[in-house]
Amino acid sequence: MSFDLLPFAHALVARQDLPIPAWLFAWGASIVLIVSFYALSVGWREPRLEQDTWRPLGGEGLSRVLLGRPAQALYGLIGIFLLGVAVYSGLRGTEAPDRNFALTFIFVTAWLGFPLFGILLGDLFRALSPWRAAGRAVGWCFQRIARQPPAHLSYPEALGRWPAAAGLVAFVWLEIVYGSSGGITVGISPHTTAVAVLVYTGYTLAMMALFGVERWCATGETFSVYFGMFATLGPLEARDGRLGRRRPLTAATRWATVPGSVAVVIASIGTTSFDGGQEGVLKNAIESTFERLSDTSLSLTWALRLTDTIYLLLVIAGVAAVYLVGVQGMRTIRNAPPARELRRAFAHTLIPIAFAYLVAHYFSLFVYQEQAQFTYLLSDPLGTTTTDLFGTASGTVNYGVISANAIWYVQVGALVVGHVTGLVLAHDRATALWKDYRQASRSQYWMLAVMVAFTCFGLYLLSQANQ
Amino acid sequence: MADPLPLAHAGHYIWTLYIPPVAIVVFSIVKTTISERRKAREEEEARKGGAGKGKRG
Repeated sequence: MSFDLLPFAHALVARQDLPIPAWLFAWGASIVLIVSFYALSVGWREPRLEQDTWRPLGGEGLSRVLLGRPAQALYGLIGIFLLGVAVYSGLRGTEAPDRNFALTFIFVTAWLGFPLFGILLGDLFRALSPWRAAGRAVGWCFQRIARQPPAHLSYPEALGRWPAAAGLVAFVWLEIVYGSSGGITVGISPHTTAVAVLVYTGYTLAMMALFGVERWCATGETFSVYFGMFATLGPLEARDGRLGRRRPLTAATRWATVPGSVAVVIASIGTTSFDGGQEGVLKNAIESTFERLSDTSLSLTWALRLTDTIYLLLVIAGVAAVYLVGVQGMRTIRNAPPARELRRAFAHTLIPIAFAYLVAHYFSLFVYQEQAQFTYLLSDPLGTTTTDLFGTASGTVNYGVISANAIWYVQVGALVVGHVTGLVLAHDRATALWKDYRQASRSQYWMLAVMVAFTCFGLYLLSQANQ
Repeated sequence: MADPLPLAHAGHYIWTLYIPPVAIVVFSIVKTTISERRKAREEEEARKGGAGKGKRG
C-alpha cells in the first residue's frame, strides 16, 4: 500500500472478513438503542445530570503545581512552540504530506487527540492553546506598560458561537475541499497549511484584542469552542485556580446556552459525515455534478472544489434537518416549550454522537499516523531524510497493528456507545423539562428515531467507505 | 440448468437494508401517537357525555 499521497481526511481500512453482513450490525445497534430507550423510560424518572457536581480534587498544593502561573506559562509556551514547529515545517519542510510534521500534527494529533483527551480528562486544549497563551501574554504586557487592563468591545450576544461554527466548516473545507486538485485527492499541502495557520493566528489575535481573550475563546475561537465542547463530557475541570472533578456528562447540560451552539455540533457531525461519504455514498453524485460544472468556464480544480462545497453544505443541512425532525416531534407533547428553546435545550445530546462519528471515521487513521508522529516525524519534522533528532527517523508505520475487523468493531462500538449516551442526555433533559416522567419519555420518541437514523446512516457510510 | 438470479447489481441497493430499523421506529411512533390521541379523544367525549347526562338529571 503506497501512502505517499496520504489523504489525511480519510480513515484507512483494509478488506474485512466479518462474520455477518455490515447492515446486520446496524440492525443490532438499533436494537441496543431501542432497549436502552425502554430502560431509560422505566428506570430514569428524575433529572440526574442537571446539577453542578464539581468538587475540588486533591489539596490546594496539587492545584498550585498543576494550575499555578508558572505551570500556565509552561503550558502556553509548549503550545506556542508546537504550533511554531508546525508552521516552520509547513513553510520550510518537504511538500510530501506524509513526511511533513505539520499535516499530521494539525489534522491528526491535535484535531483528533484533543477531543479524545477532553472526553477522558477535561479541557486540555484550554491550557495548551497557543492563541490563548499569546493573547494573555500580550494582555499582560499591555497592563504592565499602560498600568490598566486593555479595554474591549462588548461582544454581541446574538453572535454567540456562530463564528466558531463558521470556522469549523472553514477548517474542514480547507482540509478536504481546497486540497482537492483536478480529481487527484492529494489533500492540502504543508505550505498551504502553514499559511492558513498564520492567517488564522492574525485573525484570532485581532478578535482577542477587540473582545477580550477569554470572551473570544469561549465564543468565537474555533478550536477552543470545538475541543471545549467535547471536554464537557469529561470528568475533570479547573475552576478559579482549583482542579476539580465532576460527574461525567454533567457539564454538557450547561454547554448549549449560547447562540450558535447547535450550529457547532451540527457542523461537527455534518463535516465528518461528508468526509466519510465523499469516497463512498456521495461519490457518484459528486462525479456527476463535477462533470456538469467542468463543462462551464470554471477550471477543473475549482469545478471540483465547488462540487465538494455544494455537497458539504447539503450534508450539513441534512444533519440539521434530521435533528429538527426530533425537535418538532417533541412539540407534539403537551406543555412542550417553543421549538427555538427545544433546539438549544437538546443540542448537547448530539455531542457524544459528534465524538462517536469522529472516532468511527478516523480511528484507524489516528492509530497509524500517531506511530509516524512519534517516530520519523518527531525526529525529522521537515522531512529532509538527513535529520534524526531523537534517533527515531528510521521508524515506520506498522499497518498490521490492528486488523480490519478490529477497526470495524471499534467503529460500531463507538457509534453505539455515542448514541446511547446521547439518548441518556436527551432523556435526562426531558425529565427536567416535563415534570411528568411519562410525558418526558413520550417526548423522546422522535429523538430515538433521530438516534437510530444517525446510527444506521453512520454505519452505512462506514460500510461504503470500506468497500 | 435453471437461469441464475440476476444479482450482479444487487449491491447497488444494499442501502435499503439500513432503512428498516428507522422505518420500524417511525411507524411505531406514528401508530402510538395516533392511538394515544384517539384514546384521549374518547375519554374527552365520555367526560362530556357524562357531564351532559348530569345536567339533564
